[in-house]
Amino acid sequence: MRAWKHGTVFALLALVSTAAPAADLAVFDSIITARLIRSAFSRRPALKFRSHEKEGTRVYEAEYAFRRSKPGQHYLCLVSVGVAGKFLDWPAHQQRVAETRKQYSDRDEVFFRHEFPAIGRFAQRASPAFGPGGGSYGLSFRTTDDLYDVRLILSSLLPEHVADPGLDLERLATAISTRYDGQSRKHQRKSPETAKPDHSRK
Amino acid sequence: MADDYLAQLTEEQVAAWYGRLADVISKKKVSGSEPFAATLMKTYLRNRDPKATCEFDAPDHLKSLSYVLGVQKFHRDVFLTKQKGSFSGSEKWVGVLPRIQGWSGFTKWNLSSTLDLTYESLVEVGSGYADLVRIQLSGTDQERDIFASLRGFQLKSAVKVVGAKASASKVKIIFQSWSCSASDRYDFDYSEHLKMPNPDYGSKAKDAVRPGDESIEVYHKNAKRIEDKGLAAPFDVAIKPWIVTDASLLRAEEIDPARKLR
Repeated sequence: MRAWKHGTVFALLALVSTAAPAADLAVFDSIITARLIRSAFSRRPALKFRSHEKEGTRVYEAEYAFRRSKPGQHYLCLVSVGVAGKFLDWPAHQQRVAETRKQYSDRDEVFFRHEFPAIGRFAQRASPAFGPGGGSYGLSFRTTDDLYDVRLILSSLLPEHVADPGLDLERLATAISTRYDGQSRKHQRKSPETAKPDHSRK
Repeated sequence: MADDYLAQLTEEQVAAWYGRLADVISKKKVSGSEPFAATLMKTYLRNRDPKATCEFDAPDHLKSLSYVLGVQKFHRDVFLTKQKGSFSGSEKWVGVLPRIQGWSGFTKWNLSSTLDLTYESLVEVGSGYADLVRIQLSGTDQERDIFASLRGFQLKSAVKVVGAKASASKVKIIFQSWSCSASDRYDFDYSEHLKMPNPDYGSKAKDAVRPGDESIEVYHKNAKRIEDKGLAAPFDVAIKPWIVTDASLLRAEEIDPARKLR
């Protein structure tokens, strides 16, 4: 009985010592702003911008508001941030890279750089969806320090009289990653004791 | 539309490009199968008769879709006369109670025989802004697939019920069987458009469309062009009946046969 109790204590201690600190997703509030998202559009449209956090995901919504001719028409950019592992998985990513290289053996490196852009630690495009109800596509990346996953999705269906406002998702993802790295570096300079992230697995 | 590059192509080239887009969409499996969005698009490109009804087995992820379960629960309430059914914009009581009470317009039901009931209503996936955001943010691949492929569709429930006296004032309604089917129209609104990743990006194929462009603006007026040329056609989607086995839908329920309906 005593041995069981000790075992339980050790197990609890182990759990406590390995638990990751609660991620402060709000660090992205000063990075993913309405202004930043707007800067990734070629037409700089007026956007309705909101942010909220739910179930471990911080969400930034940018809606291009236009006069709808039918319900269901929309233009929506969604940026979600979660701790690393929330949207991406390194082994699954490697498998995806290998499969894509096999499936698209006729394509050049430009194509693969597009499918797996050099953003953050690693990045990949999401499979698109398309139909009479609209379409969506996106991309996700892991931050350079391996701490967070960021997912960007564009979902749209526009009436004839509304021109596409020209959102460049890759440009937006790159801007988020660059800003995040800049903030991290600033933070590291202030705290020299900060441990360097472990990049050994890549 | 200066960015309508598909407009510069022949109808044959447009249809082939749509086919390659469907191939890209079909690469990511949903519940182990080809996404329904890709299946429907390929059918659209194969079809030549706009009056055709094309039948499909119900995808597993449609049968288990939370939106479907929500509508099935509503159908159950309509069958049990707990909620009014909607008929061409007007609401009225239907289901077991008007039949038990022998209302005019209903065949009196004496509980001893099996009663067949059917009811049909709309399932809307991502109908409002909030729901659309939820699907794109935290929705499953299955929800996103149905959202893109069908979005809204008619769901029909057909049930067989029997009744039995449970007590002096209660009747027990037992669902003997329940099957569902779904229907929709697969067609594009020619006045709409959207940007999609270009399936030909980086391709060296001779027939590749703008291989230097990562994305292409897809104006659905090009869908009309290929339809007019006989290279595709909209169609009625008929999803074959499937057996409903959800215990929460099939559970027996006691009702008051004398309840006054208002």
